[in-house]
Amino acid sequence: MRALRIASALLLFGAAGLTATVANPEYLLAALALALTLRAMAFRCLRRAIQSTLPIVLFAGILALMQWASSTPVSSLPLRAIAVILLTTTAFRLLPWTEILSAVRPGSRFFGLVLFALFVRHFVAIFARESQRVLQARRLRLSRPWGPGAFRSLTSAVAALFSRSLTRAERFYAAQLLRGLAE
Amino acid sequence: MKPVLEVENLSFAYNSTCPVLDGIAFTVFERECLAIVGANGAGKSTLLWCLLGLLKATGKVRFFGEPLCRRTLARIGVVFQNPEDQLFMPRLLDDLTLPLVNRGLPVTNARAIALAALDGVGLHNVNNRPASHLSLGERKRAAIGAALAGSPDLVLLDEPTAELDGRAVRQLGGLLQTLTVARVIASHDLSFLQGLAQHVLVLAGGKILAAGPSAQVLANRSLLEQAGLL
Repeated sequence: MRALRIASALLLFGAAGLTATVANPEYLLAALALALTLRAMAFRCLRRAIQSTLPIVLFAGILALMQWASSTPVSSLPLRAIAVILLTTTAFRLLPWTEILSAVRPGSRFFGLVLFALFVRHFVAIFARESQRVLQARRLRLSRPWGPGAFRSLTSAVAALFSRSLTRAERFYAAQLLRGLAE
Repeated sequence: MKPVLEVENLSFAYNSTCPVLDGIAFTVFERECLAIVGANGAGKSTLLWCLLGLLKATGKVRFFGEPLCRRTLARIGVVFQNPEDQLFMPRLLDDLTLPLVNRGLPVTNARAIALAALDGVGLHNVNNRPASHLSLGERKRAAIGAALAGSPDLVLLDEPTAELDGRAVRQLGGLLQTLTVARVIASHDLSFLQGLAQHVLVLAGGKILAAGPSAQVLANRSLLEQAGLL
């Protein structure tokens, strides 16, 4: 199973590389469909898979808007960007990261790189957990999530999220500094 | 007994108008357990951060007779309030091995020491699991194990009983009682500190309100009430 996941991830990385260089719309649409199907399988839910693509679609939309605003013809770049990002992120999701990182032991050649990845992973986990808590707290206090004061509470929640994450990140950095790992 | 930590006239302020710590002075000797007690916001954690050089304070702090440097830092074990701030590796064993390898110890030796440290805190059987899969009590013990793995001469613990249930507090107290190294424990959990600390330093409003043998200080109800601990 692990080998299958790694092989699929490598194939997807290859497909992403190919997609980055190809402008054929049929190929791009096929790559998009493949990425979305795999993403839905990874999420085990089509709705969540589509929802997770919204930031990427927004990014591509802005890209297309910028091309249109600068009076240049809208190219296949936005579509290509969506396909490449979807394929790459799906490949990242497929990789058994914990097992790969565990396989590299402290003291080995690639450990510096692994340590960096572990730090990033820890920060992302902290950020994700804090986001969940802040948004849950907001949800519990608002009977109508988009009623009066919703926008203000959302901006306050986001601000609180940043300050909380910063504090947690600062403590994490201090702890690692004292362990002699963050120099 | 030799002093392991000497603090003289330590002061700290986030801004000049409002000092958080003012004129703190105390000494911790070898094998001694000092408790720093105070209500929330008294400055306990800030004091620990200042001692460790994480916040720039004025005054003198000497560990083992010299200022804080990489060499003295290697002789200090620190346990943060939230164990998640310390443990992040995919396996608990790696979390304990890593600082030892980082100091130049061969991996096999480091792993043996880490396993012994995990054994010491009763977590030998979960060494292959990540810290995030453990209970909070286990994570606290793992953080203590991580601090002890480096064979420190001084351990600083920030609110070790925060968010722990009664059983976990008792287990933690038992574990800390078995340690022979000098310990500085910042906490407001007076029942936990009774019988564990030899000396107590009471902080209130960033100043030392009282200091002395724990039996004497912790029995003084009016003092504890004044410090906001009762």
